[in-house]
Amino acid sequence: MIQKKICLLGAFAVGKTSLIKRYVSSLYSDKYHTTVGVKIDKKLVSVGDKALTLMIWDVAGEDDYTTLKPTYIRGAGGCIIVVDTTRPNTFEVALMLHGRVKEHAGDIPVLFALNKCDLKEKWLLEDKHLNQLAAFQLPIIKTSAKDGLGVDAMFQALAERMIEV
Amino acid sequence: MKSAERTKASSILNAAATMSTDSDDLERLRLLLLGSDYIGLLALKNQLQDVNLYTARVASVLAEAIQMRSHSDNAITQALAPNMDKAVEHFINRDPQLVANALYPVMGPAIRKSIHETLTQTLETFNQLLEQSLSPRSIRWRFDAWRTGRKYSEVVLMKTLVYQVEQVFLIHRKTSLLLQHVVSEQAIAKDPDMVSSMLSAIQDFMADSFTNESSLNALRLGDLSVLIEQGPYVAIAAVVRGAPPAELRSLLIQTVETIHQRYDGLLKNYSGDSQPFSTTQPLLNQCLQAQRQTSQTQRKKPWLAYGLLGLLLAGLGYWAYSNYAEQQRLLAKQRLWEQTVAQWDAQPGVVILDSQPTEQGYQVKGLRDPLVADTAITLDDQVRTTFNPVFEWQPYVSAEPSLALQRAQQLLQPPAGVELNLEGSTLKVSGSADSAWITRLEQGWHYSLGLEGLDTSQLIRQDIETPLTQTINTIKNTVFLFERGKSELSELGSIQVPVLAENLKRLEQLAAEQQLSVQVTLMGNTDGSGAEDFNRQLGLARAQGLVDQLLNFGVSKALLVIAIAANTSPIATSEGQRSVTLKVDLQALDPQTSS
Repeated sequence: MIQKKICLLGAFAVGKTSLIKRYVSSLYSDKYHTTVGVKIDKKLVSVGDKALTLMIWDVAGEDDYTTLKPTYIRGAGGCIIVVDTTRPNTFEVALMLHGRVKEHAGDIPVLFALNKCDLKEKWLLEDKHLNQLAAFQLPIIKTSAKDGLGVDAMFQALAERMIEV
Repeated sequence: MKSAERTKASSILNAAATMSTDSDDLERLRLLLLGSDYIGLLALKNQLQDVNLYTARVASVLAEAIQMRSHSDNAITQALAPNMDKAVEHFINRDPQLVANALYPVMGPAIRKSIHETLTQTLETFNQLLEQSLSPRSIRWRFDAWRTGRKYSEVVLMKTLVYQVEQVFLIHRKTSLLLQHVVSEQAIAKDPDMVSSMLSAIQDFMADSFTNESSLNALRLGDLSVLIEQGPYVAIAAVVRGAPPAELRSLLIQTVETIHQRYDGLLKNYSGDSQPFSTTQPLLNQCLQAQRQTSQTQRKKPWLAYGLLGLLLAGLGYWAYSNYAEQQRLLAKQRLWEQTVAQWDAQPGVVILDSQPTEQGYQVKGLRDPLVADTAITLDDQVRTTFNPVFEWQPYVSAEPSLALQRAQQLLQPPAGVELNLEGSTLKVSGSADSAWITRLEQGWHYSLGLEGLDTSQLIRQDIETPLTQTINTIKNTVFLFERGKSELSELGSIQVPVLAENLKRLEQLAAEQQLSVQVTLMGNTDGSGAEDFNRQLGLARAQGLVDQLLNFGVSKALLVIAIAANTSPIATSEGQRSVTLKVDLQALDPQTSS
């Protein structure tokens, strides 16, 4: 049994907790709960013939008042950086967080989640944003915690990349 | 042919041409045969033989060589170890201060941590001892120690292990992932992976929140506590039910150290595979089992609380008692005060109107007859010290009988020989006094308050050297002597009669003036010789003879009375016995008879 610590990072209210809840318990709620500090969940996945335990750290959202604590991402085996497609400023935060991850956790598998894809009419990301992301040559996955789009695939992709490393 | 090669060939030919001797021929041949390779070989040879060149060559690859060899085996370490030892020794001998300086940044925190651990342990032990040193249980343990001949500390240790290590987590610090987990038989463990991560998260959170370099080493939840011991790579967390002793922490520290020693390489390269760490189970089980409790945990009776409650009750009791006693004391004081005031009030000539307690003592307001002396107000030491009474008297006149007499005494000032008494409200005066005082008495007695009557029946008016008393004395001093057996007056007696008659008439007149009734008794005396009967006859005859003579001289018959001496002693034979003597009785006239 291999265990891996993964972190979900992103600006405040991008849907990190909702993504984890959808993934771990297949539930979704419209209600917003702000995460204080950190919340931890566990999920078993299998990659090929290997069983993998994901310890999923739901780290409190980044905003002007709460900055990411390096201790939370230290020792992470992988990282998902979540962007809210309806709020372009969350993209800037994501870029900054990516830098922080590289600084504190080293060269670990990272992927970007473009969340809230169900709200197509509110989509505000532009092509330049997507090009910028593509430049990192990291997986970019469109997700929706509300209807479950891409959620399982996203965690599975990260798990696979972590096993490869 | 390129120019470089041409130059090389010409230089070889030049070199061959310069060799002159036979031995040089062979050399020249080699040069011609091997060409530029030979020169290269010569250069290589030169490099190996020249110390400086060879050193420079090796130095350029030394580090890489060591690195490469270290990867394959430990030979370099083993080869260097003795030299390193010597080098360090030499280094330390040469300049210890330098070593001290170098070690300082490492030693400081290490020593601090060590001291902190020791202090924490000591404190825990001290706490335990303090908790145990005053309880009945500790007395029982001391008795047990004495009975079994063991040390008290041993007994305490045996009896106080009232705890259970329920779970032990071995956590990889960097990733917060669970490496190994053991759980005791009775305990229930819930998702140790999550607990492990959460414990780490809490640690990080605490450290970040309070920007403290030291790490969280204990959590407590009811009677459950989590002891955490950190090493560089792993942390051990022990979940303990009950009160963990200080020894448990030492065991945890030892375990962390042992695991670091044995699994050093694995820990450094840990990438999520916990399988190799399953061999730590025995070590972790040791933490679980070595401290497992044998005796049952007893619920402590809250003796301290009982003691406190007892003290509280005792305090309350004492307060209630002292309150009661104080009230009783005040009541007794009040009663004594009332008694004292009643006593004063009952005293003649004193009326207590009001008594008020003040800051200094009691203030008493009342009426007091001036006749009542200050000393008459009884004020013993107890009353004085207890109440410190201050009096405020208004003078008044009391009609009390005892005071009425006192007042009459003061007003009338009776002379010696006169006694005043009070019968009801009547003043009785007895004794003898002169007329002046009697007059004053009669005129002044009713000014004395409280008197309603005057009784002077026992009072005799006795004026000194008044004509009346002179006359009476003259009369009393007149004696008529007789010859034995005869009743006729002697010659001298006949001369005395007219004088006596004159005196008697004066007496009668003076008495009448002073409203006194008067009687003169003529006593006929005889001597003791002769028969009694004869003597009486003779006495009477002698008195009668004188009376007759006096009547002749005009003395009022009513004035005179005849009597004989009652018991005439037979032995007395002096002349004086054969006589007639005179006695005068004066009496105040009865107002009724006088009128």
